Amino acid sequence: MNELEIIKSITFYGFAVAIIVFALLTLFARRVLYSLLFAVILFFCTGGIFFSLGADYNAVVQIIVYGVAIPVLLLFSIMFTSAYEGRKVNLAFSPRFFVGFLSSSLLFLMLWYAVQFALGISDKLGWFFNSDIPKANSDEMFMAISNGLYTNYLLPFMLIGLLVLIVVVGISTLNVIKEKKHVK
Amino acid sequence: MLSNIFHVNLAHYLILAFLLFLIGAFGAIVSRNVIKLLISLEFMLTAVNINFIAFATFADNIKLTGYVFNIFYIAIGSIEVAIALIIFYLMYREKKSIDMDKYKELKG
Repeated sequence: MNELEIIKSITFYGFAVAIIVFALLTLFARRVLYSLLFAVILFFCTGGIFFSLGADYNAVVQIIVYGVAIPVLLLFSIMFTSAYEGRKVNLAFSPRFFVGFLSSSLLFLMLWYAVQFALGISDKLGWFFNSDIPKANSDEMFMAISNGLYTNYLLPFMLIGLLVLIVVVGISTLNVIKEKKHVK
Repeated sequence: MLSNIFHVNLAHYLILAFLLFLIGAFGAIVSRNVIKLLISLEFMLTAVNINFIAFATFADNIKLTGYVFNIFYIAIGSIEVAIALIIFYLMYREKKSIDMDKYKELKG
């Protein structure tokens, strides 16, 4: 084992522990604003995980969209809606807490079994999973993804743009219709 | 599978994403606050993102399909948040409450 591997594993474990801890803190924070803050830190740590995997482009997109843009949306909705009972509403305790606990532990068992099974099969068959993180030149990858978005993946890119347009028009239409109803 | 704990491989990333997905699912069931529910849904989406990138890196990092799909996935996730927030805002104007238990019309 060389030093680079130890550094990589320390980076991974640091980000992973931070992700799990901040996810739990987000759930159990008493105020919504604090849970949003913890969620922002979690999204930044996810960007770090992407960096450690060598996917720089995705890390940048993740930090821009999930770390900055979506929290701003959520922050504005918190600001608009926290006038009434802002602090009182937190987690639902029994029986919903226990239902959630039971169903997520069932999901845990199922997914754990699935992950073990899949990895066991891939070990036996010697599938194509590399055991190490392959080295990718990040400059080349940035260029390849940026070019690919306009060449190979042009159709999905256009479709996503169309979807965004439909959503923007739909949201503003919904708001206008609702406001007219309120006037009457 | 995890014989050498300092040798980070695909299984570590899968287990991280899996734990994050579980926490998100638990929060989506348990939380009464609508904003917290949305944040929990985002956690589940983020877990799927980590899976996408991990598989793209370990299985095939020449064709870049996984990375590009991840970008589209992030775009669709943000669209989903925008739609969920406008539905929440319209419901809030009727109910004057952020408590999920009072939104009985959404039960279907």
